Formats: sequence, C-alpha cells, structure tokens
Amino acid sequence: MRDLSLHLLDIITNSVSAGAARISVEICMSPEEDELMIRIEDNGKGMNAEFLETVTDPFSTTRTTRKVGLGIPLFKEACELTGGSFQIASEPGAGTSVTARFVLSSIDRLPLGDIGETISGLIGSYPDRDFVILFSNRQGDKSMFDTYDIRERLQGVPLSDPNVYLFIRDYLREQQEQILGGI
Amino acid sequence: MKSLDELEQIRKKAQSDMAARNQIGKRIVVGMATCGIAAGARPVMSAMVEELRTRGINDVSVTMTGCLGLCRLEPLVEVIDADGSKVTYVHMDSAKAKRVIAEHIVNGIVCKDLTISAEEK
Repeated sequence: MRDLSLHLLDIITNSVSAGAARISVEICMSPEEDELMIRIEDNGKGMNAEFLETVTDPFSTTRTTRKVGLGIPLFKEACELTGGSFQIASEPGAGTSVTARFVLSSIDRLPLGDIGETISGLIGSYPDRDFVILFSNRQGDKSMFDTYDIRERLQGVPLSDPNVYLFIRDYLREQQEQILGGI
Repeated sequence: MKSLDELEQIRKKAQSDMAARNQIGKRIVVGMATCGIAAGARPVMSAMVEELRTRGINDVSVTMTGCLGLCRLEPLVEVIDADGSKVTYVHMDSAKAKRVIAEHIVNGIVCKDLTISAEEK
C-alpha cells in the first residue's frame, strides 16, 4: 500500500463486511506529541476473543476465496514500522474499534493520502450505511462530516449519484488539506 | 472552498435527471479487496465516475466489491449489462478506465484487448 488512505479503505471494508450500520473514522494530528492517530469504529457484529487474538495473523481471514487475509496485518505493520502502537478492541454484537498511532515524523510513516477518494468510494458503494469522518489537530481545528447531514440535504437523491460521489471526494480533500495539511 | 450548500444544486439536478431517466442500464463493479486496493483500484473507480459525469451519463452505477478471486489480474473491473451478461477487464488503470467508458459504455463495443480472455491467451 502506498499510503494510509489505502489502508483505511481496506480496514473499513472489514466494517462493511461485519454488517456495520455506522462507521466512524477519526484522524487526529498532534505535532507536539509527534503523533498521527487514525481510529476506525463500527457497530458491526464484532469478534469474539478467540478470533480477535488471531486477527493480526496473515493466515486468519473470513474470506472464502483464499486462506490469507492481509488487510489488518499490513496496516499494523505500517504503524509499527514508525515505532507507533496498534490496538484492536472488539465485542461480539457491539462492534469493533481499530486504533493506530503513528510516529508523525518517522521516515517510515507513509503519507496520509487521499481520504476523500477512500470515503466517497465507500459511501457510493454502500449508500445505506452511515459514515462519520472527523479530522482534527491539536490547534483545535476540527472538521466533522456525517452522511446523516448529506442525506438530509439530498432529500431522497441517492448517495450513489456520481455528482454526489465527486462532491464528497472534493469536499473531504479540501477539509483534509485545511485541517491536516500535506502530511 | 466547497460548501455543503452545493448539495442543493446537486439535488435539484439529480431530481430533474431522474424524471428523464428510463432505468438503470449497465453496472460497473470494481474489485476493492486488499489485492485490488494495493494494485491501484481506487483511482480506477474515481476515473470511471469522472468520465461518466463528463459525458453526462447517469444510468450507469459504479460500485466497489470484495475480492473477485483473481488477485494477480487486479485491478479488475466488471461491466454487467442490463441482461446480466458480464465482461471482465483486467490490469486496469485510469486511462483504460476512461477508454472502457467511451467504447464499451457509450458505444457498446467491448474493449477486447483489455479483457480477461485476451490476457489469458
């Protein structure tokens, strides 16, 4: 994976497969603590303790096409390569949260990439799910995006409409640039 | 800066288009599991949506799906006709994606050299 937004896309598709109705993504940059935090939380079906233990193992997967699953192991590796920390918490029936804390200044930290393209593709493909995106930095700048607001404004026009896709992509690109800059 | 108020225009336009639209025609599906993402599937999806908008086509859907099972041929794109027949394109990129929209979606001519059967020969 070339950047973190591609990892994010991959990890969120796990939430979709877990039947989550609401998926929230928080990206917070703290230069003072030299940290970039990415957290994905969903209200999907969750995992039991036994599966949770094996989930960072590449030979653990729910997919049926092959016996390997690389999404979580690759994301974890990208995080730990920077000297950061990676955690997954999950509760059956309640949901899962994945938190990756990257060392911001590490030479091995991948660029954040294009969050807009990641999220707009997901929203267009899974228009019945709710997505919440929060960008923040330690100066206190914040940007919150919620498909609930978008749905209200669109009054029945589907979130899969190409113009909606392109609007969301470009809107989030601007918010990312404004709050997080070119990291 | 973009504002959420722009959605008002998008809504109006979509609602007037919807009145003129007969039915959903073709469907485009992009493989977006770990294998597809790493091979560059996400910009392919974006390029297809952009090209559809440029050409004013609004009866074709573009969505992502999981692993299509042929990871060495990713990025994979399937074009599914209203009658259910399917063409699978392999090793896609943004330029090929725009070509598929122009030739296959607009003109109805399959880009044979990009299909899985051309690749497997």
